[in-house]
Amino acid sequence: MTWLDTPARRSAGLVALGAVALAALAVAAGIGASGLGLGDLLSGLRGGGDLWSRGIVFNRLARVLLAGCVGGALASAGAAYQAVLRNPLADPFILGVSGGAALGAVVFVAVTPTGMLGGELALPACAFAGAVSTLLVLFGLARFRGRTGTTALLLTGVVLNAFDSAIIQFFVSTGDPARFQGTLSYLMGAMSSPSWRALSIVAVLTAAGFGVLLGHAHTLNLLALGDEEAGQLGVPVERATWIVVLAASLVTAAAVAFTGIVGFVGLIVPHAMRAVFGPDHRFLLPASALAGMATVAAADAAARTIMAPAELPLGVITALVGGPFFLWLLVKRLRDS
Amino acid sequence: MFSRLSTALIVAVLAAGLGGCGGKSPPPDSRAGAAPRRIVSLTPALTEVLFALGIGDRVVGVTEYCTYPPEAATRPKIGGYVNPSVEAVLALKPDLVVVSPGPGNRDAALAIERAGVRVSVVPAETLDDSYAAIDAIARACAVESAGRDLVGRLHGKIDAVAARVASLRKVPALFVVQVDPIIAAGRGTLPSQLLELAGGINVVDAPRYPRLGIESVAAAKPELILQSRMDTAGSDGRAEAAAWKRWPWIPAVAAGRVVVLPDDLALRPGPRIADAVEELAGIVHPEAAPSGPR
Repeated sequence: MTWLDTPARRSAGLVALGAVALAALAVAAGIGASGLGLGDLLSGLRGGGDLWSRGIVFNRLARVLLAGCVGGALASAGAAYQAVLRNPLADPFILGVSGGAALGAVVFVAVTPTGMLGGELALPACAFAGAVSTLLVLFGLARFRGRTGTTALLLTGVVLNAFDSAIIQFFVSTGDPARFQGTLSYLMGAMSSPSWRALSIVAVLTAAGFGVLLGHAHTLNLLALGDEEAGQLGVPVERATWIVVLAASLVTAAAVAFTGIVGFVGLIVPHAMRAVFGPDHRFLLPASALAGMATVAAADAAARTIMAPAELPLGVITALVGGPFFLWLLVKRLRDS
Repeated sequence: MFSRLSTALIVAVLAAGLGGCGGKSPPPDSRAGAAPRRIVSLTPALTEVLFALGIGDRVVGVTEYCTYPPEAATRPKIGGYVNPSVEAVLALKPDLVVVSPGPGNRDAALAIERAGVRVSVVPAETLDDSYAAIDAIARACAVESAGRDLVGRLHGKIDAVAARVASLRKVPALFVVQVDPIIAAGRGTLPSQLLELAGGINVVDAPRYPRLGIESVAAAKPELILQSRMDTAGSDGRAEAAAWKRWPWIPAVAAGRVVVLPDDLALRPGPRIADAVEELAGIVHPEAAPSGPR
């Protein structure tokens, strides 16, 4: 089942995966609609090139790094959700985080007097607030008699997602259609170049959330056995579940706030990595993060270039490639067992 | 805005067979005798055509987006451009409904026709469409000579502007309909056609209204960016102009040549296309304007 069957091989695999991720980021940073390449980026970093070419390559670099952060965030969050909810279909959006973020963005667009306002961070901040408030509602509702069942969490999340999208549809169908065009593209993944400030916010949030998840890697291994078993092994199940859900939701919210909904990455990457590295989260989490970085950076590079000068929504690429890949993975696993 | 326009072509093909009086087909002889007295327009540009032909007094219903001429806005509303209410239209007892194919209005147009009301489907998207639409509506309403006069006046005015800028350098320009994400007018679209008549050259070499990455925009090196309002009702244009300051390495931004258009003239395939060319020429070539920049 697992390709890398000893800890030493898994460690070597992680190093190789790190190299792959770096290579993917470099390739993504080296291609774009303008035809400027990695050489122009390197010379720009050394202070060469004119204003125009430096502008283009730095702008592209920021976008590639954002894609890397988002990919790492979504894939590691997916791995964590799948473990803690003990559901192979769990993805970073399953608990309503995406619906909440999208609702926050739509409310922002609906209530501000003009179509865009308040600088670069205003809309992401509202999306983040939407995601976090959905989580708070989830926390309030899914606790029953002092404890939280994973089924209750899942069902509540699904219902919240549906409820949020109903409110979104209400705003979009009663509002000025021209005004919501940007929001609709947000729902399909709207990667764009962030400022360095925005990028650093996403990077810090992602790194912090990922650190918490990695710190709970061993706990996740035990939780995957089942709540009772984990409890008997000394895991404070309730508390650990919430911490993991919170950390995974935090990184998801940070990613979604800036780029909208990028589907499939959080579902497929952890599954693929589980096939390679096995179920141990001490390896699975970093492997998912690295593979997610490479995947989204590559998908975004494709979105930027294959239809140039036009640009495709990132979510279209990830879903087009991710759907068949997931089916292949599923069929393969069913045949193997 | 762009999605209405971008789907319009597909819908136009689908809807081609539905009207009794299509854009380029001859008028239906059986009903040509009776000039319509109660007209409902489901499309803002066609509302403008009706008023420009001098038969605004026959217009008894319009969409919420029919705001020009101001008198048009005083007519009863039958819903939006993408979601007209069939019932509201029928309640006005029209004897002619004019509509340009767009997303969402096909079912409504079919239902109105099934209810026995004459529906005239008039494509209104490109420059040629605009002239043809005036022609088609003039025929449907039995005011052919007014239609010919209007088309002649528009040709005259546009030719005069085009002649004024003909010898000048073509300015590479980008016509943006939305900034986040960037949606621009592509090759063959109305804004692109008007821009080129006004002495510019569209830097976008993709059809229709593509979504562009900022890198594609920079690579095309536009010297002028024309920014249409995202939300003409509420916006003062400052937010749109400010959005471009993020990218000071684009030639037009560096040169301070991002112009937020004061209106949506260039997006209206109706009788104001000549005004649009005039306005764009004043921006593209202010040095050639008859009395300085407006």
